[in-house]
Amino acid sequence: MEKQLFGKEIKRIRKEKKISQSALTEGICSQSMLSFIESGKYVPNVQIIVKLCNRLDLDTDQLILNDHYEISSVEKFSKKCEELCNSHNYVELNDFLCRESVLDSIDTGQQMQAYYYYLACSQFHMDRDGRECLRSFKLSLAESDTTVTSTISMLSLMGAAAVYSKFGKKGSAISNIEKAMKRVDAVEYEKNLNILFYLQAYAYINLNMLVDAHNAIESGIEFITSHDTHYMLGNLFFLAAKIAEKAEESNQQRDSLQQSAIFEKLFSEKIFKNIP
Amino acid sequence: MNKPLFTNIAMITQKKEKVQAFLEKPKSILKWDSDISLLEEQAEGLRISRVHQSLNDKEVITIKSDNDKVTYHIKGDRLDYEVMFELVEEDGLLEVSETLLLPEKTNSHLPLKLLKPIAKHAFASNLENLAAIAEQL
Repeated sequence: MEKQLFGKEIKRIRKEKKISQSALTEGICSQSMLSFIESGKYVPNVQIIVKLCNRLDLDTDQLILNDHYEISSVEKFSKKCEELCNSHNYVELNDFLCRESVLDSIDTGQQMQAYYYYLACSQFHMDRDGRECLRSFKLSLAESDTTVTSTISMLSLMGAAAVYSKFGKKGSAISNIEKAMKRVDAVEYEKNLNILFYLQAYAYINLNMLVDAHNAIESGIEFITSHDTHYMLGNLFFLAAKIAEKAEESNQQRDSLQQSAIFEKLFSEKIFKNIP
Repeated sequence: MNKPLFTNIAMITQKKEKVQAFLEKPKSILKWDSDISLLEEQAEGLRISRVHQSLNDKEVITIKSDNDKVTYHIKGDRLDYEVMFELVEEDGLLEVSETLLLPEKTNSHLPLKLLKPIAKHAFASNLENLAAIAEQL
């Protein structure tokens, strides 16, 4: 099952982006290997998966919402916000959101909630200590109902979890993750919910909780495929490969330390640990 | 049919019999697996709930011992697997090798090649804990 799904998704994205097999594989692997991968007959090593995903532009440091939220009753302001967000122009987005005319055009609680969400997203890429960004996610949540039943509330909770994880605040990050995921199966489905699983895994990676990150991706793939969609699927595969790569590096370090320890025990040999 | 996914090894200074007896005792797992939140001994095996960093949130474990091997058979809410501990004494040291075995067909969505380094990493931490505890038996 897993080989087919992975291969099919690589093929779907490659075709969607109109990239030929030879262009995708150049300098990475052979074209015949890609054919085997796409037909679900073979899974390459982690390094090749990462390279293929990179070439397919699946790295998602900058997420794009599938459906955008209205921040203002003035249509052109909501449209401008969407454009700046999609083009990852976060500095300009931040400037735009701080304009008095934009602030004055916010009429409803829902618009205010979306406004703070976008503001937090722009700050996520600019903020050094995460404080402003966290404050904006919290203000977005303050505009929602207390039971957290809307997708944007869940995204704000998970966004805050991502910020907490970035600064090593494990308890707050996990608590936010749990709150954000609590009702994911109970609310009406919309594609933006798929992002939650990506951010959840991202937060766990920052906390070095690699098994949990992997489990979050497994659940995300289950969730996405059960809703018959592809949105974020390729990105989840890429993140899974990045987690595996990180674990491999850590395993290599551990193996070499362990070998030294075994030598030390076997031969009562002192290993020089601090070689200048 | 289960296939080995990876093996981790630890060398410890301890008698084989002591470590084997420790691994055979179900409740010993509480001493070296730090992510267990609840453990109940039931007729079908040892029922375990975990907090984080585990392949499953809930598992039922049965333990079988045979000569130099102790095998944990695990039925989980996500994944079924086996952990086989092999104990070999050599030059006054005990080599404890821990092998994770998975069924050829799992219900995993991600390729097993991606799970392998992550699971190896997580199991190595617990093996380190086990080795440290076993040396003090």
